[in-house]
Amino acid sequence: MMGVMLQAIASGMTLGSIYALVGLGFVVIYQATRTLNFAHGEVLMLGAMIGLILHTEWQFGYWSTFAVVLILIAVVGVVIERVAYRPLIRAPAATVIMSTAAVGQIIRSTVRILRTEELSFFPPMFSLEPFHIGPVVLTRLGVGITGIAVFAVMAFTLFFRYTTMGTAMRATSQNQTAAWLVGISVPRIFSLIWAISAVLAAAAGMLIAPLVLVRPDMGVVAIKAFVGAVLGGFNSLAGAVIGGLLLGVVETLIGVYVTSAFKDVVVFALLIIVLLVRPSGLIGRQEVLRV
Amino acid sequence: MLELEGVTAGYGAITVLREVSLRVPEGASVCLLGANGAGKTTTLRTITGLVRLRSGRIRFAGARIDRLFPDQIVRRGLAMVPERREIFPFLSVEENLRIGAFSRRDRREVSHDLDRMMALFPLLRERLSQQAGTLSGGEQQMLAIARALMARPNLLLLDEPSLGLAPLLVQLMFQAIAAIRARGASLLIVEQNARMALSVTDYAYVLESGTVALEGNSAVLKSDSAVEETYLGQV
Amino acid sequence: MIAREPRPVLLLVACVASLALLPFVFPAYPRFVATIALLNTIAVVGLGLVMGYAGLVSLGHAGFVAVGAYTAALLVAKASYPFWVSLPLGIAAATAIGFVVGLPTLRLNPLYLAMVTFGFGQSVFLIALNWVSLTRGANGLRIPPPRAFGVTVGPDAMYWIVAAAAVLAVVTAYRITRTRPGRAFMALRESEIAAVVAGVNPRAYKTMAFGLSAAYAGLAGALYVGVVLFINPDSFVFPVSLMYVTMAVVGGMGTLAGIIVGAVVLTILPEWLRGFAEYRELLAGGMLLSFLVFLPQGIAGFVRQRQGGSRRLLVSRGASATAYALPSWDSDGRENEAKVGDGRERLLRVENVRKSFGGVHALRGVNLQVVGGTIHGLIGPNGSGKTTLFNVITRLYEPDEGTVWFENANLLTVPAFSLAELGVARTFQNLELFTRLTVLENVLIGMHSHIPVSLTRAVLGKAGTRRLEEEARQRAMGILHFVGFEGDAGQPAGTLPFGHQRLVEIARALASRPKILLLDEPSSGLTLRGVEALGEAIQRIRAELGITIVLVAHTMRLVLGVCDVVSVLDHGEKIAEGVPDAVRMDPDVIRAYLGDEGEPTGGSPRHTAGVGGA
Repeated sequence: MMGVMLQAIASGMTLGSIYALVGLGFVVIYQATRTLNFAHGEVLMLGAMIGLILHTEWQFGYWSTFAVVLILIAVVGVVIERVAYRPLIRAPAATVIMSTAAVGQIIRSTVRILRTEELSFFPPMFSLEPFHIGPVVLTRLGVGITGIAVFAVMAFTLFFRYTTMGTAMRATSQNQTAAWLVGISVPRIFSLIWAISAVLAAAAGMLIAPLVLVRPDMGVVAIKAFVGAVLGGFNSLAGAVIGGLLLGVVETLIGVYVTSAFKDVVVFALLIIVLLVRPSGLIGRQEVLRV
Repeated sequence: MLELEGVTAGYGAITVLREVSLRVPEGASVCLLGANGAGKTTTLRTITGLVRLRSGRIRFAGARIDRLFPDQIVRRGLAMVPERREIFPFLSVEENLRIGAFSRRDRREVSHDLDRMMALFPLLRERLSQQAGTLSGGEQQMLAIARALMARPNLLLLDEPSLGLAPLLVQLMFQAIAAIRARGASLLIVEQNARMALSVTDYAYVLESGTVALEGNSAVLKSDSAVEETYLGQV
Repeated sequence: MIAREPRPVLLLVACVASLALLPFVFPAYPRFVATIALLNTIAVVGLGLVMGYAGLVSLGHAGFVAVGAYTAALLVAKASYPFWVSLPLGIAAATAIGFVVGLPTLRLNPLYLAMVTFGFGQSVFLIALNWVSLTRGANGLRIPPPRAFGVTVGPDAMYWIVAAAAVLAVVTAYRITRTRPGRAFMALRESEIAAVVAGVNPRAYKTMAFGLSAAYAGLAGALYVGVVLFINPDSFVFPVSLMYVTMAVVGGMGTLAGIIVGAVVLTILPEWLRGFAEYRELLAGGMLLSFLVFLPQGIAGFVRQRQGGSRRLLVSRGASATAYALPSWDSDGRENEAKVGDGRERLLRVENVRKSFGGVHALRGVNLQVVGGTIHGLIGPNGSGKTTLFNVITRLYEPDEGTVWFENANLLTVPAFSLAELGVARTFQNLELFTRLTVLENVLIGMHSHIPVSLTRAVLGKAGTRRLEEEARQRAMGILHFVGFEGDAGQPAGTLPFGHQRLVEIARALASRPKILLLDEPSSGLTLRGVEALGEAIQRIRAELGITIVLVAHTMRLVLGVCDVVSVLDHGEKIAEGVPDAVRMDPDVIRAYLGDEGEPTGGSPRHTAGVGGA
């Protein structure tokens, strides 16, 4: 009994780490531009898909695949910013949601058209061989993903806090006029942010590919990653990660003990409740009203 | 140093500035006066590239800057303290100051300048690690000026530095401005506090409905009743 | 008034006629496509109401369609209800769910709203897919064809029913958008603050918009079941929701005609891609993105731009207000007791109000009493707290301390939108006009609390509705005339010269028939002549309409010219009060405005406490 619970928590941690890693990309863009990239899941899928093609068809090694994909996807991020965000910078917030949703649909349907094979397998970064800690079964990949998620959060936290560029990004998100006036090129910051977010998505995509298989709709994971980020607090990187982990565990427990067919429905209901009760998330800070 | 020639600018359908021409000579200190809505702030925003001009030209240090973006203009040595402070509320005071030097490459000098700012605005020293949004209005204003100075500008634009400050702080503010001047930077100040502004500047322009209605030496204008009238109406 | 709107009746007749002819011209398949186009029209009209008119993003519209469709199908298949009973129940179920989804999410920022509606759509899909015992999951549900009067209603007959429903849906939406509820939606979209100040209850109307949009979706869904006789979850996936959005955007979201065009075009256009869902989705995504970037107003907006016409004409183009007299102001209901001279009672009392933002103390215990029938000036340097005080009085800011009394009501206990009804109106320093709405619509929204046209009334189009709306329009024109607006009342307010926009905002404030009018810097941005005209208008508002006025102004000429009493704020405190000439000579006031001479000896002792806390 206890074993089932522990196992669920352990598996939930792996799932939650995936959410955290993907959610991080949402939060990074939100922090800088106060908008959502609705194509985030598709960028993730595109990263995994390109990786798959490079690795299996072009015979690239694992690490060179990884590196090339990240570079290519950074460019994709910049392009999305150019076509779907920058022209609409003064439009209402909902417009950017629609335009990025459109980009997502374009990516998804294009991949479907170009690649008709069903589910494809992408090699794991770490072994999928299970090992035991007491009653709990883990895989190296699962632990590795958790490790990378934690590492990524720490790296980004340090980057945003201690580097000039990171500070410039935070400054831009807080006050664009002032950012211009201290000599920050606001559009360049935007390009950079979208590239970073895309790289995070692609890395996550390749990491989780062995678990969920590479397919055109693998991007749906992004939606729950978003829910996790909201849960933890969209205003902070740490909040997003803690929220992601929490959601992974809660979802797995619901799946085991309550309902597995409707666990996603429960998750969305949870989202609405959290937004009602604590819109700033569990550890996010309330934004101060300025006049 | 800075020269505006027939500048017309505005927002959307509204034209705010009509054919404004003014000059800030090297090392001089100039103020821009006028009632609310006369176009003072728009003038500064146009100079820094935040508002695009419709016609006319702006020269700074011998080159045209009216087609440049704000960050490029700042790199050329022109900094602005915007109206209502516009600090970065969730950055610490120190981060606000350091980001002020974003356009500079000389890392070591930046730390020196940080110390200089502490000397100029001792109030900020104790608050270095505090979030800037929690500062009082006066402290935020000091921070905004210090942040602009961190860019080591040759020309500093100040938009309403005394806005919303208690008189004692206004005094402090103008002492600081005098100190900045003494270091050789040129200044263009937009001020509501006309008497104070005229006493720290050499030359003044008075804007009315987006055009220059009056200009002259500050000392002369100080005793001119016309300036008073733009604020308090005809006697 | 010559030539009213571009004859919607004629347009309607033309549409109905072509719908009636269509089955005789086309073979079966195009007839089926036409039926689907009509169903999409119904659904997208609903989406247009919530997204286009009320400005609330909804990415789960297919979810509402699914609720209508599954409710109807299940009632027919499992409970053997007749289709004609299941249909309205399907609509009811969708509407109810619409309210439930709408209610809690309205306080959210648009990003969260997008995600929540998306999550809702996804949940409905997942329930339909996974609740196999009820919905048969991916296998789908099949229902027998509807029967009426003992005969089976086949696809051809269903065409007629769908066509009738579509016409009805469009007419209903037309009625809503052209009357009070529709204007309230648009007002919330354009500027929520101004809408609230004009008396629009934001929660009620946003929820209403969501419920309405879900009702349309439910109707489309239930009818769809009657036409196709089969449903499975695939018809309600996210790309379908996005397709609805695309239809609305491509056609032009803020107009009914555009929405219809979008729905029809985007049903027919992808037909040659039949069977290739990917290509259809690619086409939709591409069109959505390019329209958002290059043609955000959609086809309808493009056509209008080409014609050079203005947005929507509720009076004939070029109608000027000069022909209108202000209709009997006091005759109906509200008497303005506070006539000039009499009634020395204090109409508005602000007691010890404090408000700070972060470390900035905007108001430090302000007391202010405004006597009925006066023009009360409120002056002070920039940043002295005048606008903050207005915002506290009109309930846009919650003060940290203090109370505000208006007549016998404590304003701090009532919601902001009810102030209009109590008789408090205001204008805004930086103008909060509904820029994309016409001048006339702006003023009509100001009358929100005084036009008794509810949603049901608008939908049913009762005989009185037209008359009430017509009267309101006449009155609005009268008010525009009164404030001296001489431009085109059918023009979008945002395209007017600045001075005219100011007048329109004052007219909108007057339209709520206030007892007190708060004017926030009405003179800023005006020419000298404009300021003079404004001064006259202010005096006429008091003299002829008996309205008490509080005037925040920087232009001293104006304040000195029209005010009976002037209060001076500095650093969030009242430093002087009295008749204009006395205030003007007050040394404290002069110091506040012009500052001290450059002697660095410190300020007056009264202010020393302010160091570090300004």
